[in-house]
Amino acid sequence: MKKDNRITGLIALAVVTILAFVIIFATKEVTKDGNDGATTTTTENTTPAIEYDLEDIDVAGAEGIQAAAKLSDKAGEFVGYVVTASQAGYGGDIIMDVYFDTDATTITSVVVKEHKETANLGSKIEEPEFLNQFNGITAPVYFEGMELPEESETEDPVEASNPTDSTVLVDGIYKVEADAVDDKGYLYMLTMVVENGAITSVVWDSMNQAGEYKSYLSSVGKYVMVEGNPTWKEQADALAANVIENQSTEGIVLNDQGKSDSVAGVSITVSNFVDLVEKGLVLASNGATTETAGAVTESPAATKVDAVTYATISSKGMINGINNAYNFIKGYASGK
Amino acid sequence: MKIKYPIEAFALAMILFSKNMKEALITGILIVFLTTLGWVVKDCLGHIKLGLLRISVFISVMSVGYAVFQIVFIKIVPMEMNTTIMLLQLMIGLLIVKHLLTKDAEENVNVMLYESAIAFACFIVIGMIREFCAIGSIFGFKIADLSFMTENFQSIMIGFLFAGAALALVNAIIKKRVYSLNSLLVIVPVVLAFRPFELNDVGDIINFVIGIFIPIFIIVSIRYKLIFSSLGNAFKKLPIELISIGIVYMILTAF
Repeated sequence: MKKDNRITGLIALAVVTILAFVIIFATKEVTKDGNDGATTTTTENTTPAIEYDLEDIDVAGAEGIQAAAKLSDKAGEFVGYVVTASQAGYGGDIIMDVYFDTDATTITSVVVKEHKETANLGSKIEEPEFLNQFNGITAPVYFEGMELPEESETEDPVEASNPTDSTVLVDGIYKVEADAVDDKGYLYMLTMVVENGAITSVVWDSMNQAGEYKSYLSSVGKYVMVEGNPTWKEQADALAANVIENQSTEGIVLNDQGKSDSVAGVSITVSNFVDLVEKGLVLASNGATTETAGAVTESPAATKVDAVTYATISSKGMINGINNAYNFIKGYASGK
Repeated sequence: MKIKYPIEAFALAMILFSKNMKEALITGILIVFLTTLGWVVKDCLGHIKLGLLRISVFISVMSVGYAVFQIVFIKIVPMEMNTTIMLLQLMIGLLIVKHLLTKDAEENVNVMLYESAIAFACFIVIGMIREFCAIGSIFGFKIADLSFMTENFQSIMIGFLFAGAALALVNAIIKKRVYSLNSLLVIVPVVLAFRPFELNDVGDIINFVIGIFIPIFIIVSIRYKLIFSSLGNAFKKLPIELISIGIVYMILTAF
């Protein structure tokens, strides 16, 4: 009886095991096409039909950039750029070609060359419905809920704002304001103009609640600090000249009281000036013009796009790759 | 009274697959299906030797579990799938097998199914809430776009919090409490798959070890303190430990 029970148990176990193998094998066969770990090349979205002449651009040291080239048509006319970027997706790296117009900002098309995303989900990044939304828009791009694209590799705005050999300022007019009025009721603001990658103008001012500017009040004698000393506007202009000369705030060394002895004739508190200049430099390095400092929820320079539903990581990989390509080609175009 | 539904399997599933209502619905169905299948195999082979019975239940539930998760998640209702997710789905199957083979496992399938149904309902509800709070939609249909909505509602740390709360709700409805389950069986696989932080400029192995050791060490320490806390019966053991690890994840993720 006991032996029969054991034999029955062994037979039952054998049957269950065989069935299990059959089920697993059948599952493998059924899901083979959908779960292929090999890279897939795009079939729906192809490279643009026009053939271009390519002039390679050096990408050595550029993280996430595999190749880049200047595009010329058959007549030899410069028509834009193409950057091959690689970015981590959900299943592996996504490799894409991002085509830019001659301004190195407008995206003409995006082509997914390789990816390992989940079939029928993340793989939708190669479908025209997703890719066509990039045609003709300006970079950088983002989708809802995503952090705004930042070009600087460091998250510290102070560190990012001090121009180094690798920081490129984008031409434009940048306006920044303090987050709040000071204890005397003045709201400080700064306008910085960048031309050909260099700061050419800095205007620092502040406005009270009556709408009167300190520069005006000091000029007409209604805002006097110390008799005989330069007016507030003259001191603000001196600070601005120092920034233009040094192309940074390095020439202004702050003490514990927020003042500086670095600039001749300047005795006013300059900490908020330095703060606004550095915020302006951050905006200039991102190309985000006419934006106020402080909490920024939307950058006018960034274009909002739609992500693939339920494939956030794949979509984010694409967006990051496109923005990385944009940063690279913008840096190249500004520096050439 | 003791819990008769596979609470650990539901806990792991709620943490991982309640990001949206569709995922929650499908995973809940598969858990109930696998639990019932395992119970049927166990009942049919109940007369054989215990060791052989256990192996048979293990093989049948794990193989069918692998098959259904793969087919459903890849072919029928495509969702994000990779090796990590597959291993975690196998872990869910393992927890179902563990539940079925404990000596306290319910002989009456009706009780087990009733409690599983309550857990399933709560699973769907938290999936709905998380999806709405994250992207303002329910089952993929956009409902609203409010200022508080953020993708972080679909993160693992929120998964822990919602899973703990949902299980507490289930236990309160069925008026039972957890007695002797080891929450580490649920927490450790998630920590292995989704570490709360990464260390830069250290080796991959050191990064991996530290990223796993610290959260587990913290939750083990917290468990001893929780023994002495006065909580409602519904929250005791697994639910409150999941909520605690969720808070730990929140803190560690900040780094």
